[in-house]
Amino acid sequence: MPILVKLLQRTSYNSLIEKLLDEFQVYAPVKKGKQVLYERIRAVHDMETDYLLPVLSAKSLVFPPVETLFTFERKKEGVDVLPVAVENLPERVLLGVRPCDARGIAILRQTFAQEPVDAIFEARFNKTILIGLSCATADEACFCGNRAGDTTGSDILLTQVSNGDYLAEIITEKGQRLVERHADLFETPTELPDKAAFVATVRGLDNVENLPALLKAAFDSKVFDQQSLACIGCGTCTYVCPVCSCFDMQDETQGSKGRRVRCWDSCGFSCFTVHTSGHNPRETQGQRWRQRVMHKFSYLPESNHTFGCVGCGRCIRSCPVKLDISQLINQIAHV
Amino acid sequence: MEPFEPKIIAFVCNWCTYAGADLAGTSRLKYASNVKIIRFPCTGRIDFMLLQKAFANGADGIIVSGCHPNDCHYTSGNYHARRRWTIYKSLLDFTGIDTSRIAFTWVSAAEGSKWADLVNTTVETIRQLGPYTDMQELIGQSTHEPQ
Amino acid sequence: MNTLHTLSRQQLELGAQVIIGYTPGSNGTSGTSRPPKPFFAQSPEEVEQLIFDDTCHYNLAVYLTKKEVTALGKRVLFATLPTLRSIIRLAVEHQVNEGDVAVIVRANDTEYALLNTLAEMETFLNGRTPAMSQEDREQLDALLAMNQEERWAFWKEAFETCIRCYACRQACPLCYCATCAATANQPQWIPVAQHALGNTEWHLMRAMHLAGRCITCGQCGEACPMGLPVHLLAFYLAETVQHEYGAASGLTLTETTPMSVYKPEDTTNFIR
Repeated sequence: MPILVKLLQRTSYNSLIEKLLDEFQVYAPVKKGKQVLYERIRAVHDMETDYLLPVLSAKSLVFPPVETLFTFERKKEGVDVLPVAVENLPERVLLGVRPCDARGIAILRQTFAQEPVDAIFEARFNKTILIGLSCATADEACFCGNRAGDTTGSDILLTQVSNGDYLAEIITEKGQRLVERHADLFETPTELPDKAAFVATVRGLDNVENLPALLKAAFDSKVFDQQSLACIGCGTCTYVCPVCSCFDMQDETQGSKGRRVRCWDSCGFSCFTVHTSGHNPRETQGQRWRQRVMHKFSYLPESNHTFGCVGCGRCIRSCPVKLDISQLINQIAHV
Repeated sequence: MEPFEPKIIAFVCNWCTYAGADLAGTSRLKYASNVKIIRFPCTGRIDFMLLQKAFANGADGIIVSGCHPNDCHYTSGNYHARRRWTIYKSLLDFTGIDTSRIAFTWVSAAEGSKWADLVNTTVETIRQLGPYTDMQELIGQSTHEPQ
Repeated sequence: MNTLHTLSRQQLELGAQVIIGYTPGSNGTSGTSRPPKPFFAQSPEEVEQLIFDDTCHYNLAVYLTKKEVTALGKRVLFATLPTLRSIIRLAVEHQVNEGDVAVIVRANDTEYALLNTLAEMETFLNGRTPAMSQEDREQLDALLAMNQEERWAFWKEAFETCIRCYACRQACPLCYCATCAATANQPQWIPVAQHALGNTEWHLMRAMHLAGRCITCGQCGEACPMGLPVHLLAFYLAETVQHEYGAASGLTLTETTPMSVYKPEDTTNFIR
């Protein structure tokens, strides 16, 4: 579908949000203490406008940290299992999503849409409208490779121009339907500002085209052990990442009732691959770091034709020991 | 609407408090039936996480009871327990968890009536405080769990 | 920086396999510096990248129980005062042995000193115990001034926000259990899922497992990506243990573990 571009005045954006609040559950970046997170808002002024990137990615909306898969109850006649009614999941709009986060959701969808399709993820995805916001600035941790205005993954992408109004690119049919319902708020002036002037230039990784092959060749290199000496093996980089999708499944019961939940897990944890026998195929942090790198920059490109990284830089910002993953990947690429 | 009946879990040691509760029974003392007793060899065996489990699973109140200091069947188990309870209680107080719902006591094998009084008092205290919802409210209401 | 690099190079020559210190954070394109980060120097060239100044405070003692690091051999650590306390405590708990590690400390603003033995580290700590930071003290006092409902509202919000990345645990030098109680599943002490109940139980459990051991470096709170002041839980218990049993952790090689011992004359005011 060709991308239509319209103008959304700043005041019209606020009006749009108010209308959306009537129709949907609306999520947006919200200030919580010293941090900004994507959270549900009840009023326009709840939304934070002064932020680069919320500390957690937007993946929580389609792949939450904890979600019930089904509930069960043991009765005399047997066990009743009640799957989550996906048709009852709420319709949502996420505002102010950065292009890297929107692209992250698109990549995640590739994983969950593989056969057999993950019905709960699909339902959440289908019921979520993403209204993105281009980045006018970047910080030293960003490495999206000049994708600060990328439309991938957003249903509508807004770019704020000099007078505070927004260029609105309508990318998907979902976005088109929303714009049609509020057509009075979107204008089609004869001249539109040039988007590129309002979007930041951002570094990317070195040698990106050759990365998958270079990494494959470096599989047995000692570089992974060296680089991961400082890693303390927490799950921070995994959990803040817009693309990481590993999860655990747990049954939580009280008496004869219970539920099966899916919850975030990290390949960085030492026990991630422990077998019941006690054997651990990835028993050193170097092996686990290698797995992270290979999965994102070699295996996923091979199988899904996409990197498993959007260059948002969260892993760099949040790592407790300040490991700079972009620097480390560049090092391996040159080894 | 039925009146609120407190659910109390009691963590007790086998040699003193459990025997004391037994004595209350054989003496035909009447006391509230809201308490489920969990028997341990010694209070020194009680892990503080078990108290947390009791609250998480719906207990409205907790009793923790063992031998008086100097009387522990294993000599020093209750001394260890005493330090543990002191620190655990102060942690709960610090996090705002209601420790008036937990009764820590020494009840000996001869103190059948102390046990009966303890249970009655605790049940009434909890009845006044009402059901303990703080932990239950955490279940399924997390910001990380979509509604 | 000459003394620091000279000392470090000397140690490599004398048989140390790795110098665990700090290096400036990476700069990226905007040129703004990020905080210093842990750095492992195993050659004279790598030694040149080491720094140790006022901006370096990450507690490097956490690496002394990391098997990939201990496997390298004799290690020399840059030690702040909290790091020294961690080492003393680890030695008391038999996780660090004499000869495993030497430290380079800041003797003053301009000079560095090498401490080879645990006894030297203990002596250096004498009279140099750092007080809690102003910010932490104020936040702790503010919490203590709240009533029960207010405190629960505060901590409930924190436990709801926690994503259970375990950065707090992994950053802590004293959380070194090969199988953490949170990871064990026979029995499963706490829910694995990172909902508010599981997170509450996690933080209560961790604070209790640190009671009497925590040396109040605050690294757990710093490590938290969600900005939660989880260090205050352990700080509070450290103060409580000190108050009740007169013991501070990580100061002397002969100290006891207050939660593993008892005195018949211990008193309480809440046991009926």
